[in-house]
Amino acid sequence: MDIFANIMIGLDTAISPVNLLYCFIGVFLGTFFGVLPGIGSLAAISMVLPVTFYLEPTTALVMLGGVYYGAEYGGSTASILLNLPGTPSNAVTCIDGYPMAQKGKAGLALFMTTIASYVGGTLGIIALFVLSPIIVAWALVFGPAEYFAIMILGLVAAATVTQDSPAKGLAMVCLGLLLGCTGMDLETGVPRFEYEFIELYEGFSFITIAMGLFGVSEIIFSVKTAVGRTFDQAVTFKSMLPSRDELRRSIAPMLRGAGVGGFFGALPGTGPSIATFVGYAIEKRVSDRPEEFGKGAIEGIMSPESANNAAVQTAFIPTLTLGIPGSASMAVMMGALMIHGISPGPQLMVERPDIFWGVAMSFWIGNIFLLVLNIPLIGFWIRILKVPYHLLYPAVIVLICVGVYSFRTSGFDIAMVLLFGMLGFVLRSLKFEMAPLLIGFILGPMVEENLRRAMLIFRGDFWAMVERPISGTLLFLTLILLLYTTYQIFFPKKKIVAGDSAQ
Amino acid sequence: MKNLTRLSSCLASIVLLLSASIAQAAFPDKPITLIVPFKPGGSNDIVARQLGKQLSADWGQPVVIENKPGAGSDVGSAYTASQKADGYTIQIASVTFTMRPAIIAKQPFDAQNDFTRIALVGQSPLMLGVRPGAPADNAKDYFEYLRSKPGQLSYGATGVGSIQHFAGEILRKAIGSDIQAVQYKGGAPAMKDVMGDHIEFSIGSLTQMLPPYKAGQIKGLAVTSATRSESAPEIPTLQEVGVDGYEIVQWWGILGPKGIPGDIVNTLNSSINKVLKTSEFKEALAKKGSTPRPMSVPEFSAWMDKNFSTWIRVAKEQNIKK
Amino acid sequence: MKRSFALSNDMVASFLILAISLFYFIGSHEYDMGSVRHMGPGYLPRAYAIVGLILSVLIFVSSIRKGDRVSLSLDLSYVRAFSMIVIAISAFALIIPVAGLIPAAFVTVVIASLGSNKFHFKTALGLAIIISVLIWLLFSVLLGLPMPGLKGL
Repeated sequence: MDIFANIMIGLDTAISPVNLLYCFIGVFLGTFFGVLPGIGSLAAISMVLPVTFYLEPTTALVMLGGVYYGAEYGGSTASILLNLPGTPSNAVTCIDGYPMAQKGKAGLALFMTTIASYVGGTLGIIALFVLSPIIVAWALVFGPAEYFAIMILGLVAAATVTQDSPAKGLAMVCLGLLLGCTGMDLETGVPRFEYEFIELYEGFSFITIAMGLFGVSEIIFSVKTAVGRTFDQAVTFKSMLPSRDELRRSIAPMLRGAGVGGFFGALPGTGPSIATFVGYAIEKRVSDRPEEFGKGAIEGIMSPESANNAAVQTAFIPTLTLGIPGSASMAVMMGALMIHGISPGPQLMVERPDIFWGVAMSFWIGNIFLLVLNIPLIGFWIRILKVPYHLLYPAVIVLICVGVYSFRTSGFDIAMVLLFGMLGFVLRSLKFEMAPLLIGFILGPMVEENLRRAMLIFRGDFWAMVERPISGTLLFLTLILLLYTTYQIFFPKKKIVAGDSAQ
Repeated sequence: MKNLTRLSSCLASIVLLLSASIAQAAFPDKPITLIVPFKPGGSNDIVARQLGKQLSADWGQPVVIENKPGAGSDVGSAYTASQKADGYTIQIASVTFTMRPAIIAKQPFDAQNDFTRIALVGQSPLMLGVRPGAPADNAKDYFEYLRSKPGQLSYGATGVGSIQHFAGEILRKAIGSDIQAVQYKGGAPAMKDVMGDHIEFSIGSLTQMLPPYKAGQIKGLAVTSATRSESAPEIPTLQEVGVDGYEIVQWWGILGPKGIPGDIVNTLNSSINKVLKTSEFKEALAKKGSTPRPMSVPEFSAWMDKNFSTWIRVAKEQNIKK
Repeated sequence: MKRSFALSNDMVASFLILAISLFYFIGSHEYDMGSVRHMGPGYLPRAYAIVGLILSVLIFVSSIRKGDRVSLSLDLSYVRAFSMIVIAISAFALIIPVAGLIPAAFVTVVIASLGSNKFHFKTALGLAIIISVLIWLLFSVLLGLPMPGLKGL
């Protein structure tokens, strides 16, 4: 069979000692960068990129790939331990991972996310081998109308991720959308809501918003509540293993997450961030105990982590087969290949199967490295939580500052972190949740771009969008979800109504 | 006494001469920073890194590539403009640099006057790419098709006032079509929507278009340069298919802050031109469909002036808003 | 009696969202609206702002219906942590461009430590020394980021 021949070609390249070595170095560096707050996968890849110019092209891509998924993985560690998301996808892991850590289950959370990453990544790679052609065709069907529809669906779904009333969730999404408006308008080149700051021409940076809303606000809360308390964490290997019940609850979310991730990863432009949010929202909908979400439900970390890593793998499909990078990180990796004079694209698979399949196989090996590297490290990470909080948090603040400053050596970005930290503190004091705001911020600009593109293409005819099968279906689903949510706003859950009448 | 004076003046002049020649030979005597005002991995970055690699081999001094992305390319350019004009901080600038003043109301610097022009590096044509199932196999028939469906068709570009947008608008006007420009965040997503039959065409960089073109996922109808590209000699130029005087190329040049001394500019220019003539550099550029184009300092300066005035004129003609 | 007038979380939040939405709604008038076919830069910001206004009203109404059972949880006891952390981060932003990474990290750690009731001067000082040196080693030396440890010397 072709697939086996490809696997053999791939294995042959991937297990050469040099590639194995750089794969390991890449994974190690990636994990290390990812754990540092403020340094996401994109920053990590950009930092390592110049080193790879001296390597063989395959080795360079193997190493950069390792840095990429290593950083995505490492980001979840900081999310779980300290509520510091390094990438949009890690923000979802915060929702349930951080409460788990606070309940003394940090080891379990880290162990299970490692497993979820591995399973998601492996399934993503299988999709890369088996489904590439189908996935490419699928990705091409998605035009501006379809992108708009799926993102609107994602936004409305994100609002229902919250604990409290859906109106508050929607309000946070809306706030995120408004913040996302800042920056240069693509269609006209007009800078909007930039308040005369050239730093804001490209909008608020994700890192400053995530570090402020999640990190800084969390520290302000914890400084007072966590005084003198160290998190009581067991560090034995046994404490990391899930109970039978936890394992049972993990499997289905992990598989669903991989499916969701594999699907979204292949769509250039959406990628891991929307995949993790949608994965989370689906778990909350299908769960028979949605009230546990946000308070440390294991399903809430399994699905997004699995979705994230599956999406990371399938994001290579459009990059390697069409020459279309799905994300900024992918674009950097494509650039790395081009610096070596290799054009990623459809003929890469035919002309240089050793590169294509070698890289694909090395991803899988890299995922095994992630397991090997990280399971022993979990004990070390947990010990960080044993440091008394009043000694830990000043260090975390400095780490946030340095990480954000390193992004483009700008004090302005630190000021932004501060601004969003204060906003986050106020909103969280009022019992609002930050995750919907973040998804609004990430998806807002994409919603706007695609809607405006679609309206130009269809000459202002909104029905043309509804008449297309895929976008029409997605918009219909959105409408149903929105109606259901509106119903919940006006007729809130029984316990509140009952309490109201009883006075 | 007289002799002594003569001797001393003689010595002085020798010292002067020596120091002058040392100063000449000594540039560069420390690492040079080459600013790339974009993220790593783009065409500017790739060209800059190849150039930097060969320059540092030539000079025996490291050339440090620093990526300063943001606000189009304005963040990096503003940074360069603010640096010391000693030749140790230079920047790569592309055709976009000369287009922005025509369409951006407010730039944090004066693109025409705040920079020293040093050298042109190379150029690359764009390619008119359509989906394989497009209803025509040659450019002439294709333009007929575009004209036959007024008010229905769209094409993809990469932002208002981008080279792709300028190229598209000029073509649109030349062939008398009312096709609508739709903006994307980069050539790749625009190309994806061409392949997926969501938009009609995209005039993209050869670097990006060549791989899918060679794999038959995109049909190349024409190139935008005055002569055919060596990377795809079978594709005619737009001039050949009847669009008179059409010539738009992507190019990369080297700039520095205003006021770099003339001899240093000349040293930089001749070192860069030396690199451009090596076969190593030619091959590196050919891989992305580009060719080196050495120019003297005055030639390059005239080239910049011509670009600035062309884009201001075109922006006005095509009603691309400032 | 008291119920409908008590400030609840949601009520305060609805005012906040109202204010932000209004700010963007008014701000959006600076930009061209365009048409449905050719949306201008002001179109979606205004649409989002209108949705925000509607939601703020919805939240306000539901906060009255819920009454005072969800009372305001803004807590003044956070003032110390809040202000010290704000000052610490500002200090970092101000010091690092002038004096470099080590002094910036040092000052930030000391000020941030002041935010906790458990503040102890000697501990904070020791912590500041250790952290600033470690951070410098990690970011400037090991990762080679363009952040000198000491500047202006």
